[in-house]
Amino acid sequence: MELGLFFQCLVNGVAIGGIYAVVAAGLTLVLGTMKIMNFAQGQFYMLGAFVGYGLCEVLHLPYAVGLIAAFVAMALLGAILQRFVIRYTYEGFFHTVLATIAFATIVGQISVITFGKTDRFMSPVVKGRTVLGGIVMSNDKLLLIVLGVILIAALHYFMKTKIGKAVRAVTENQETAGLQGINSRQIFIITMAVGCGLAGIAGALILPVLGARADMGVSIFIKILLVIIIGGMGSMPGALLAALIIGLIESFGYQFVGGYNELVLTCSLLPLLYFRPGGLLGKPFAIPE
Amino acid sequence: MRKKSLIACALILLVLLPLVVKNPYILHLVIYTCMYSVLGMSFSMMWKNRLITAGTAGFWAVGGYTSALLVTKLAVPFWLAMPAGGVASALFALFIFSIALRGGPLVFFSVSLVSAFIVMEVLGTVSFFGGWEGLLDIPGPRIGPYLFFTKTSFYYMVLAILVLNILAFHALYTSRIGRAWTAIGSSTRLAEVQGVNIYRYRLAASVIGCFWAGVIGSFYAHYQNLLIPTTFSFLCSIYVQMYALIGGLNYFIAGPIVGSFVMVFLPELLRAGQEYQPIFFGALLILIIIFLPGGLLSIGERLPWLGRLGGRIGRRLRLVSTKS
Amino acid sequence: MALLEIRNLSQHFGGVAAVSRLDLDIFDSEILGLIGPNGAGKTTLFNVISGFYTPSTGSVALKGERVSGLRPDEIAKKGIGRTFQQTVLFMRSSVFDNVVTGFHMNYTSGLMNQFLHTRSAKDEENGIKKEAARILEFMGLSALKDELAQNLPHGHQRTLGICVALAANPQLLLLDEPLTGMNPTETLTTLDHIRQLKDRGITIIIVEHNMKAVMSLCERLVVLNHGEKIAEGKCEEIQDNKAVIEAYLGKERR
Repeated sequence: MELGLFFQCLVNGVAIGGIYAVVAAGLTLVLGTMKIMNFAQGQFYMLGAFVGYGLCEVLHLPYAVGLIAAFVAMALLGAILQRFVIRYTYEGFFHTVLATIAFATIVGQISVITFGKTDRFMSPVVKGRTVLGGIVMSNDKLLLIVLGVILIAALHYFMKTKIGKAVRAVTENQETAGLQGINSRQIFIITMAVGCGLAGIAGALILPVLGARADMGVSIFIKILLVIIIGGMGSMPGALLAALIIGLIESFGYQFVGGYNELVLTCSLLPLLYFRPGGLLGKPFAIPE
Repeated sequence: MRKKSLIACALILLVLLPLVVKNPYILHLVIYTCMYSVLGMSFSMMWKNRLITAGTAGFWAVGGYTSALLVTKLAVPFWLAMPAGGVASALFALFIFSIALRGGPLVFFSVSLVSAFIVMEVLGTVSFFGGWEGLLDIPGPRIGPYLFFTKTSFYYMVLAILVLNILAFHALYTSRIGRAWTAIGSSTRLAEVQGVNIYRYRLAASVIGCFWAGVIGSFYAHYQNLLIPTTFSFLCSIYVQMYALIGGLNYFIAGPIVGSFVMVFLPELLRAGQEYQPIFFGALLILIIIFLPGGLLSIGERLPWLGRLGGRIGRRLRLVSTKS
Repeated sequence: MALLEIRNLSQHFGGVAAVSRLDLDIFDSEILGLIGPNGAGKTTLFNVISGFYTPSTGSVALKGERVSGLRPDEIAKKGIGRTFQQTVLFMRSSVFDNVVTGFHMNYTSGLMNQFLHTRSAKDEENGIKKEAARILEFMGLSALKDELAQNLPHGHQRTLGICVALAANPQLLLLDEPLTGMNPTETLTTLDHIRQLKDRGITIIIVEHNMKAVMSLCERLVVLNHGEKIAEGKCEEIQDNKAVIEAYLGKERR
């Protein structure tokens, strides 16, 4: 293998892994804190991409506006979903999961009807390519990697703030947090908003590279599931690590095995689960009784 | 005894149904109801153990493709191919879930979803399975000299499968195995302390459930005469869950049947456009989850409450004497 | 020889030792009281014995056979039954079905017989139903046998918890605060039942905060504090033990 090709794959892998990491971080945050699997995460990602597309390509606003708008819009939608649907699904884990699935179905179908099943591409944000030691990379891909790292850092910083600490307290033990005067309902809304907002901004991030498509939400959700299984359910470092690993496997795998990429991924998943049932960095996750 | 005679009556009615219903389209819908009931019951069996499978469609597909390939490529007789489809699906489940169950219910859930997705991808990309255009020209079922091709004959076949399935599940649920499943479903801790090997019982439930999904997949293949990978998409597994939930999750046999019946016939009554159906389904599902989490069958349980409410309103309106 | 031998047992969570270097012998047909302030590690010890935790160090052996490290269901099959501190029952099943489910391990007929509901399986089923009725009779819940477990008053739920544990036919029974939420009459009858269980040869370890009940019930007491055994002996000895009084009331300031 040529060295140039190797680095090409490496950069592609890190870029796609970064996107997975941002979406998976949002999902893990929600899963860990609320013990809820948010099935609509992929759809928030898709909607985020379309928000970005609408603002930047149709209305010709700056890319930064598109990014922030995607985050804010999806955070709001996530908060609404939490406040008006999930809160009332008190029967248990499965009902909540099904509610998010239903929500995802509605959103997905509406966007298929509105946007059709075609790719929408955006003109590059930072034109041109960077040539670094014989490797050619589009500037947008580099921008994506940089912004992805910044987002993860921002999430890390958020968890250190007062609200972030409250979120962690609820994650540890809801009752104890309640005794300390933390309103877990508010925290749930905030968590959901941040989690969905991250998916939205990830969608806007990938937009200049891959474009937007009405069914992109489902395919990324499968990947994100793989990420959190491999990383360990509810483990944030695990999710980030696994996202990178999967991004790299995918990018190198595409070079070598082509279409059977996902099969290879899944087959490598089973032995891992055999030896580490809780994923790389997690414990077996118990659904509360 | 009253329950038994009720069931006998229902069975006689179902057997006589094709004599009354001459419209082949309605019969087609009834056949679909039966098919989805079997799938829903397979889901319910796992749900009894508090396992949520999001991959029913994948195992349905494995059964269907196995049976169809056996018949078309190896000329295996249909009545052997059908159980073979079930066994293939069960073996696949055994392989996948024996590993996934070590990680607990949430990993089971995710792995089932992912594996169903992969099954669809593989069926679509590998040309041996017919690719995305699908596997065409699957011969209709033939048992001895008898060739199934009318809707009525297919109806009797799927009815027989459904009844067999119900009998098998009923026998399981009323035995010690079913009791262990119920125990796992209500408290894994207590079940363990009473000596139930949770891993093994959960694995058994998922393998048996997937066996029946495979059997009905084989029926589907030979009924439709073609298999298209996108039929077995993620949405299909979700529909199966919806059917079970809408009927009532705590009714492991009746729930999926009622749910399938309602959800197959309701869109027909509404005549909604095909592409708006998922939106309608989704909205209905959210409403049911919030307002009737026990499903349609739990309305019966809630009747006393409705009666009390009626009484209160009646008293307010002075329709019912307050003194009595 | 002791029925249950606990040797050098420690259980760490993160850096915290919930149980540390515990040695304990439980003898055949005795009622051992396990007491100590909240957070002393009593429930953790039960969870280790019944297999929910694998101990960090040390071992638990039943009749000389090591059980620590086995799964909870394997330990249950060796003959250790237990109840839980929070009421844990099969809430959506009837009282009778709760007890019948408890008999899970006592079935001998094969799975195929079970599935086909053959005569031998039916006979066995009937035998078990009779046994279940006898247990309910003994614990005084016969009249409620068709109620759903979730509809029972709390005291009866505790009693039902013991019934379910008894159904597994244990040699050693771990009772985690069986008297919580019972009124004085119920407490007295339950104490009586526990004594009768002992007379039938079941060894019992009981965790309970009701000291009067514990004193009247147990021959021997073990006091835990911060995961360590601080005292062991007859009731009267424990009552006067300085360390125990300190553990409960805190050190007197001088």
